[in-house]
Amino acid sequence: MHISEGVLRPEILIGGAVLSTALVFYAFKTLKNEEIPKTAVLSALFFLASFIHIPLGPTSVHLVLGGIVGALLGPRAFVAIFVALFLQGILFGYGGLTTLGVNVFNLAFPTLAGYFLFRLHPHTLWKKTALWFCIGFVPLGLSAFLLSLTLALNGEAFVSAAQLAFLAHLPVMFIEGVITLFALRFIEKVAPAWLEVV
Amino acid sequence: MSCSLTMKNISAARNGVTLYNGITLNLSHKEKIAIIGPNGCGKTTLLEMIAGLSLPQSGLLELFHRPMRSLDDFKTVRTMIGYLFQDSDNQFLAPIVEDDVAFSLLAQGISKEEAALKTAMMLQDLGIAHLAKKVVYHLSGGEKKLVALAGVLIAEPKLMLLDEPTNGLDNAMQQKLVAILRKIDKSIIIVSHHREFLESIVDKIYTMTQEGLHGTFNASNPQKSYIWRTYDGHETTL
Amino acid sequence: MDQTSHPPITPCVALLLALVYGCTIALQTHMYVSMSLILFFLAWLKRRFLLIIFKRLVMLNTLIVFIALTLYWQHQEHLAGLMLLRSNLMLLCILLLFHGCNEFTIAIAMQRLALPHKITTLFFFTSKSIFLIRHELVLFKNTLRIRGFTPKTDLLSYKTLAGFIGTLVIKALERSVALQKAMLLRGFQGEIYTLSRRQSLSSNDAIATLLTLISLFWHQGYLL
Ligand SMILES: Nc1ncnc2c1ncn2[C@@H]1O[C@H](COP(=O)(O)OP(=O)(O)OP(=O)(O)O)[C@@H](O)[C@H]1O
Ligand SMILES: [Mg+2]
Repeated sequence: MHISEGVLRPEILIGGAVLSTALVFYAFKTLKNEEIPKTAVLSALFFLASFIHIPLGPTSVHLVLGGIVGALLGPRAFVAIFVALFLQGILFGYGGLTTLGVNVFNLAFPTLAGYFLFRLHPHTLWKKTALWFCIGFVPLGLSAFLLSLTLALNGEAFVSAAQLAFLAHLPVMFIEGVITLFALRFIEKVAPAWLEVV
Repeated sequence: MSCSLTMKNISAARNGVTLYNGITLNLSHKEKIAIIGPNGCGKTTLLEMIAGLSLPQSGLLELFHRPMRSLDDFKTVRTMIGYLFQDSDNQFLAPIVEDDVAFSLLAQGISKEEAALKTAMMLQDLGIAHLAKKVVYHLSGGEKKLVALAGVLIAEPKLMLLDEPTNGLDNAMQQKLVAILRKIDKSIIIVSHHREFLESIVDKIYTMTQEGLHGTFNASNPQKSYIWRTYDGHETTL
Repeated sequence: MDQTSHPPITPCVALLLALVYGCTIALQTHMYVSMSLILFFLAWLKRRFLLIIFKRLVMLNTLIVFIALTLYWQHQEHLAGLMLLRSNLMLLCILLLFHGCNEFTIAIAMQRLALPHKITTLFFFTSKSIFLIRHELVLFKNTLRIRGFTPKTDLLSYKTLAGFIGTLVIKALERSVALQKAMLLRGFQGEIYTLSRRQSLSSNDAIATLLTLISLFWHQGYLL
């Protein structure tokens, strides 16, 4: 999900950095002191999601949980994901510092979809199921698309890598959707107050 | 004798379920009391109301002779109240022991030099000076509790609210805590399940039920009240 | 981590070096042997952990090698080599600089860089939450192991794991409420303070800074 250091052209790195800086800066400026705790715990959750492996046939994939983080945080997710990716880059070498801008944009921007989907009011159980699946599926799908787009923009030669990267993410999107759906159902059953939209 | 806390007919509810009706409680200056009661009866909820984290459904709450009607009213008394969380992890704001203990001082604008001095003394007093540079979350449960307590004590609150301070402490640590709390010359409310521990500290033990609080004087060792009442910073037994 | 245990390179210096080194290497289109100078110094400082660090590097290389192969396939040898070298220099730099650091070290380093209080507070609270939530994660994995439950690719496993994710989310949100209470009760004024003065820099910091600059601006031994 993260693009590694050293892969991208300077133009793309700088473009991503400028875009993310603007968005993170805005989200950060408007972040109130009393919102810091929620932003921090969900940033931690996003950070740790990479270490939760879900079995898939002979291998396993890790979660991203961008949809849930976006649903609960809204635009604050930019700050949360920035902090999480920064720490992942430094402590584990996932992504890195120079690609931080690109990765923050690719992962944080799509979580807004989770935020908007979460705000819809489905009237039937079937619609709700579909919607909650999409809260996981759509942001990750968009992220995978943005990741492939970034690679493709990096040069003609990267197009095949971009295509393969997108295909590799398809099963992950479904898993993220299923896990998100069941996780939200679990929260609804155990502690519905947390899902109330304010 | 002036009153630290007056509660009249306080009732509270959580999730629409009434926890209790008509809690009445008076805490006089430098009095130490304990509240016991089964899990989930609303002890933490009561402490949180006294600390101004939530409002009672009905009833009168006065702190230091000032009526507390809205959460804003608590702003003026906040620095006079010390609160020890049931789960120590929730207490900490800074990751390093000395920084966390010094937090309230620095937040009040006291200079770093003075805060450092006071913190060192406080850690010394509680026998945890060797932990000063450690990460709080890497400590044992008992050590965390002492660090959290140090962070509360250093602000010199007039009223201390301790939620299950013996949670997860071994016997030696409990004895240490008893010694510390007996020396403290402040109003204290302790919530605990631990009768033996409480009996060596408090003047009065209240039992919490749905109807309210029932207090009994702690007569297990009448000399004890005598010792702490006369205590003024030195280990003198009269 | 203790503040008392001195890492070879002061974390806030390490952050700046990683940033300068990374940003400069990322812009290079030709590589020189001299660019790895700083890495040799760092490797010597971390000589006891080199095996672990290299294992990590190999693991992180899977995606990079995959992209490099697709480039090589299309006869873009120079680009493939450039990408591999750039990636590995930058990754190795970060891995060597920050091996042995944890989330708290980084948060403290951010504080020392004198960034706005809001961002350092956020880093402190995030590192705290990472520590506490990771603890829950370990407990859950142990519970599964004790019960002899190995997650598989089936609905039951997915539901179990999703239930756990749900629990994590609830606990995380509960922690955030508790944290808010602590901020209120302890008189949070928008800042997390530290008693210790500015950390004095070590000779290793000075040498590393010098070597980083030499690595970046003294080009010797053309590679590609
Ligand atoms: N945040 C909350 N949301 C909803 N209900 C809550 C919340 N916190 C507590 N409750 C409920 O309120 C009741 C009283 O809780 P409280 O924590 O005050 O009990 P307690 O006496 O401190 O229990 P314990 O001895 O276990 O600490 C419990 O039934 C609990 O389930
Ligand atoms: Mg309680």
